[in-house]
Amino acid sequence: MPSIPAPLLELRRFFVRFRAGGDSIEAVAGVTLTVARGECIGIVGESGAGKSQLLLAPFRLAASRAEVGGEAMLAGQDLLALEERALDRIRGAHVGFVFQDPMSTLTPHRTIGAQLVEVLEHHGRARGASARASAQALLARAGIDAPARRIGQYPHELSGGQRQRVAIALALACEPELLIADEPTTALDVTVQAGILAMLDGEKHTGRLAIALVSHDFGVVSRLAQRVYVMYAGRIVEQGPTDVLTRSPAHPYTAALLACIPRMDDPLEMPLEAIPGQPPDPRALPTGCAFHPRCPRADERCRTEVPVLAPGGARAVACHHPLRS
Amino acid sequence: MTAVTQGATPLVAVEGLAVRYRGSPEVLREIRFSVAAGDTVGICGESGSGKSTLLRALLGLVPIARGTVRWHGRELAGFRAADWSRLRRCAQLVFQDPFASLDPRMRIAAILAEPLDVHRSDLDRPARQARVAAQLTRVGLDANVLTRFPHELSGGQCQRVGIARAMILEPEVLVCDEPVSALDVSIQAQIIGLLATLQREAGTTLILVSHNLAVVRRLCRRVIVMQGGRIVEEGEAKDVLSAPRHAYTRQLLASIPEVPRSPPVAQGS
Repeated sequence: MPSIPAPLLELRRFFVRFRAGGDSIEAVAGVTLTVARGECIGIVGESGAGKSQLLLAPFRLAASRAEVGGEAMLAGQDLLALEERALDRIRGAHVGFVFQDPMSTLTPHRTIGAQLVEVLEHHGRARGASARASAQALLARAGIDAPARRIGQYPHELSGGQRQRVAIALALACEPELLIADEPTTALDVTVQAGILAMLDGEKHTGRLAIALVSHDFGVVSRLAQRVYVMYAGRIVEQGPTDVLTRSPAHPYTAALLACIPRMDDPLEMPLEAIPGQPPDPRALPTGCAFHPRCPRADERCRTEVPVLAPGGARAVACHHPLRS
Repeated sequence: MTAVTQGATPLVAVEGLAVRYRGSPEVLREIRFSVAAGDTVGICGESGSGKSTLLRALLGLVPIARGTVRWHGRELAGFRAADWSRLRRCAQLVFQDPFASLDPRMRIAAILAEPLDVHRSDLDRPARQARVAAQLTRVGLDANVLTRFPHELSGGQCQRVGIARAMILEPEVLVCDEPVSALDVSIQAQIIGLLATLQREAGTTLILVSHNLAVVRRLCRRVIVMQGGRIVEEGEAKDVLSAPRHAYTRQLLASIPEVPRSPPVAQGS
């Protein structure tokens, strides 16, 4: 057998469960996912689908009372078996994180320069003057204008878009192999969003950085990701190359997520195709396929039998009545 | 509605408007435009372009450095208490953050009844309750949300409550500040559809601020593009969006994250 390089991140039958009151909530219900070195994958789905839990729980960044299981390997290391100290070295040094709100990673009362220097020193990448020079270079790389001046500024002196660029500079400070970007542009307006996506695209093209991008917006994900996982109610319902899924979605949910984005060329006589209803309450998931109450193709089988993710060509889909099988 | 549109007097007219916050340069300069009653106008631009300040200036919520804002021909600067009260009733707002814009300690029933309690004391309690119930149906919510608190609802449901509250006084103008940008795209489409339907049915004037031209295109006949506190382009949405003249409008259009067009989905199973 030819040797296939092991994926950088590999989750197998990965689950995240919570106890809330008397209820057991399965936020992630047995997901298998890989990220190769230098690859960008996207996770798309609505709020509450479990997208963030899926990518944060392997690094113990999920809620503290979560029960996490299955397999989670990073470059051959078993993340779930690692001690907290070892995991701390991985977070930041090998895996960087960017969140929707840049202030969740930035400290309000310290200058940007001090925060970058701290990360570099904490992970033993540089010290003193050399760390300060690296910090300035990181800001320039993140597309911050006048980095020499910015380095002495506080987060509140920057715009929302610049703050997110600083948060990305922090995440990339130790040259991680993987960047987990959880809704990184959701709070930003479209022009700033386009700038940040272009910057992440540039980082991707260095070939050294893999990115796992989480977003509710298929438009955002399709700008960066080579492969997409569509998530609904804790499960992957469709996965495959981005262009395959965007051009010919097989799962009705994937199709619906694509159709609801307002486009400049869709006919105004036709109303936007909103997805009816809303994502299910994780404490009371529908029987069978969790999407069936919102699905125009649902029948009796969908109401009773959970569809499994079955490969078909370049993609895999979990649907009893896929759109083009 | 006591305020009437007389002949060609626009609902709101802005002339030579400039706004400056204390200690800062002007954030709005030489703004001039008007909105006819019943029209739908989108104000587009990025953060810092002055679009939200312009909304505040229209409603008299920020001091005006120069120029005039007129509602039905009457200048804001000359408003008396009764004029302000009428403006507060005739112009209703929908905000970006559906949670932050609802009082977390109030049940939905009270949130929806409050504008009626304040402005429609002429209606008795059953009449007000009937209006709340009718409004709830119009925005597509179940009666069971009435006893809930905002944190028990989803973002999309909260925004429906915000819209119901804004529409319950049958305002002349609905002013929406980024009404969908805090929502999932799947829910955005629902809310855009709801706003379009309500606007069409009631003939309400709509002034919408959004950074996304694809959203403006769905809801507005006219569009105003702002950059750096000025209007850089203005016109009918179909013209501006299909043949933008200003480089900044083109940049806004290019920033919309679209996915490649997929062929129509096959019908049936």
